Amino acid sequence: MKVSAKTVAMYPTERKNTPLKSNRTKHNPTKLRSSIKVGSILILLSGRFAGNRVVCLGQLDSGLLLVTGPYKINGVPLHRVMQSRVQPTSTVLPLEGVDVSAVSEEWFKKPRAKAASTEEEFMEDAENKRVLAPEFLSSQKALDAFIMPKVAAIPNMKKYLKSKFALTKGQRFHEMRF
Amino acid sequence: MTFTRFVEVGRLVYIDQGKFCGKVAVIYDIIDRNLVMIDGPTTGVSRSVCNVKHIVLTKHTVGIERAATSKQISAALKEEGAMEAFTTSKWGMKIAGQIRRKQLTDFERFQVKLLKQRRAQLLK
Repeated sequence: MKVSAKTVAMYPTERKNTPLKSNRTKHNPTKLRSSIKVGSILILLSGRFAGNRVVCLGQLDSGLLLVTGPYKINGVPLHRVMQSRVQPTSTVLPLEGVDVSAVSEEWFKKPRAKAASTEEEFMEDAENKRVLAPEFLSSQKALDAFIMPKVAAIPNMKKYLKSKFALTKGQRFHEMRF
Repeated sequence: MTFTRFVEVGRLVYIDQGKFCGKVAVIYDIIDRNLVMIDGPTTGVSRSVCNVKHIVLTKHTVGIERAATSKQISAALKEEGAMEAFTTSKWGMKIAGQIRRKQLTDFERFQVKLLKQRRAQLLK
């Protein structure tokens, strides 16, 4: 430490604790992959719906993607996925003007489960039972209703969304185009 | 049957190995029994030495002199329409089809699958 005789006559008796600058507290918002747009068809790569083709509805504040099957077509509900866990395709549905402002991230959050102490409690775990928000269902229905005519306008699109992605003989993922 | 396709100056060749794999070029000089010099001014093959094991001879030729320049080769190709003759031949169409298949998107692959199923159904 440089101490100039001009400013300081004596050393301070106590050192002041000043927090160091840290990058940890800085919040970097997730960048949306350039290959993903609103209306993009994505192939889910992990989880319960791995292999399903879904429609991307946009990016939420948390950085996760909001996707839907649509539920009516392939049974994949409105839910959030991490963008690194999908394979984007170049097929895009024209979903201009889709409104996802009603969607709340709270619907998808899992409440922290309390450990059951007795067997009965474990069997009928009333406290940890998740109940779907009524707004969630109405929102899903409204979004599906918005997407369905766009899907119907493209021949074979409904069949495509209904089918699952799988590699067949001689197909190599890294050599394929999506 | 006698041989009809020779390693000769002016022969159109399909390259099936190396840097220019999948492209068509013209032989403009022969170095020895293993090496030839090829050039594809219209197909993106640079003037280079090539092993004869890396090329497949086509039935098409162009009338060029030994050590012809790129300009002369491209003029001869244009005049005689040899490159077009190759791309519209059965072999050339097959290669074009293979390239197209590789470039298919996921949705297009699915549509091809549906068409294949339809064809199989009709054949039954």
